[in-house]
Amino acid sequence: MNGSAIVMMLFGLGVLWGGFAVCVSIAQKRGKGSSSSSSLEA
Amino acid sequence: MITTYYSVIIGWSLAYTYFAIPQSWGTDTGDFLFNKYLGLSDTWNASWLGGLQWKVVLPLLIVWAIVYAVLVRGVKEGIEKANKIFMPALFILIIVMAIRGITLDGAVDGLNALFTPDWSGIANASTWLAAYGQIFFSLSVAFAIMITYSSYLPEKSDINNNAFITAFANSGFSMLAGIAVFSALGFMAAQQGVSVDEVAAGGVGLAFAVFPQILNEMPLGNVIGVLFFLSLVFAGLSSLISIVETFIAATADKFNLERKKAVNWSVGVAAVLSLLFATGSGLYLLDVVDHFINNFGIALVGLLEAVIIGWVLNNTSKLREYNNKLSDFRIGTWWNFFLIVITPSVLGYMAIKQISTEVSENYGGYSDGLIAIGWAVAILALVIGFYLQSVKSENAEFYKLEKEDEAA
Repeated sequence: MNGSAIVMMLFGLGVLWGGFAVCVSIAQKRGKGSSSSSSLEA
Repeated sequence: MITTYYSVIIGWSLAYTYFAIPQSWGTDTGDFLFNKYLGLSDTWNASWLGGLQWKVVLPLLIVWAIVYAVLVRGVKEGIEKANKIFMPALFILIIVMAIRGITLDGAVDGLNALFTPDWSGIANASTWLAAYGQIFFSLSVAFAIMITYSSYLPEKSDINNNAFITAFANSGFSMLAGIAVFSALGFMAAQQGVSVDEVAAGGVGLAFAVFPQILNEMPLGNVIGVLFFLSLVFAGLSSLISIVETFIAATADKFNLERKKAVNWSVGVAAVLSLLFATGSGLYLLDVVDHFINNFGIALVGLLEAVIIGWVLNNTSKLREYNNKLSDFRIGTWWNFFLIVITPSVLGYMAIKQISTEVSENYGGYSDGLIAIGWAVAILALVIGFYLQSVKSENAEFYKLEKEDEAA
C-alpha cells in the first residue's frame, strides 16, 4: 500500500472508531440513558 | 414503500447465503442472477409482470416471518433483543471478512484505489455534494427511524452523545465494509490482470454478480460467501425492522390501535405489496421505484423538514439549548448554521439538479410507462404522508406533549 493510502485509512478508522469509543465511554461514565448504557422504555 | 422492495433484496441475500455453500451460481454469475434466479423478463411489462418467481418468493416470506416475529414481541422484547444479536454478529462478520480480504493477493491494489487521496477533489463542489448525499442516505435521515427509536429512549437521555454514537458507528461500519469489499475487488483485478476500476460495479451487480465471481476464485470462498451474504441479511433485517417500526408506531399512536393489530396490518400490507418485486419484471420495478423514492420522496421530505424547522418555525436555537441542557457535551452554533443554511441549500440544489436530469432523459433508459409509475409512487408517498399527518388522532394521549409545550 502506498504511504498516503495507509495514512488515510488509519486516519479514517482512528477518527471513526476512536470517536465511537470516546462517546461510549462518556455515556457509560455518566450513565445518562445513552443507547449504550440503558435499554428502551416502550 | 421502501420496505416492500428492501425486503426482497434481503430475501435474495438469504437465498445467496444458501447458494454460497455449493457455489450454485457456477462460472457465469450474471446469467445465474438475472436469468436462473430472478427469472428476469425481457421487458418490464411482460404479461402478469413475468409471473411470481418462487425462488425469490420463498426467502421473501421467510424474511417477513422473521420481521413479524420480532416486531410482534414489542420494542423491548423484540427489536432490542434482535439488535443485540444482529449488531455484534454483524461486527464480527465484517471484521472476519476484512481480515480475510486484506490477506488476499492483490488486496493492496484495492485498498490503494479506495484510500489514495485525490486532493484536487477537495476544491470540486460535486465531491462535497456526493459526500453529503451519501451520508444523508447512509444515516437514513428523514426515514422517521431516528424519531421513532429516540422516542423509546428514557425521557432525560443524552441527545448529543447518542447522535454522535450513531454517526460514528454508522460510518465506522461503512469503512470496515469498504476495506473488505475493496480488498476483494483488488484480488479479483489481480486474478484477471486488469485494474481495480475495471472490475468495480455498483448496487445489485456488485453484491450478487461480481462478488460471487470473486468467491469462485478465493480460497475458502464458500465460507466467506456464507459470511458475506449473512452479513447482508443481518444488516438488512435490522434496517427493515426499523423502517417497519416507524409506521407501526405511527399508526398505533394515531389510530389508538393495539400493537399487535398495527403489526398485523403493517407487515401484512407490506408483505403483499412486496410480491410485486418478486416477479419476472420485479428488478425493473425495484430499480425505478428505489430511484424515485430516494431522490424525490426521502430527499424532498428531508428538505421540507429542514425548511420547516430552520425557517418556518425558526426555533433551532431553542432546540440546540434543549439538546445541550440534557447532554454531557455541548454543540455549538455550527449546528444551527448546518440546519438553516447548509442542509436546505444542498438538498434544494440536489432536488433541482435531479429534476432537470429527470426531465431531459428517462432514468436508466426505461420506458415512459415505467418512469410514470416511479413518479406516481414518489408523489403518492408524499401525498399519503401529508394526508395522514392532517388526520386527527383518536388517541387523546397523542396531543399530551403538544399541550404541555403550549402551557409551558
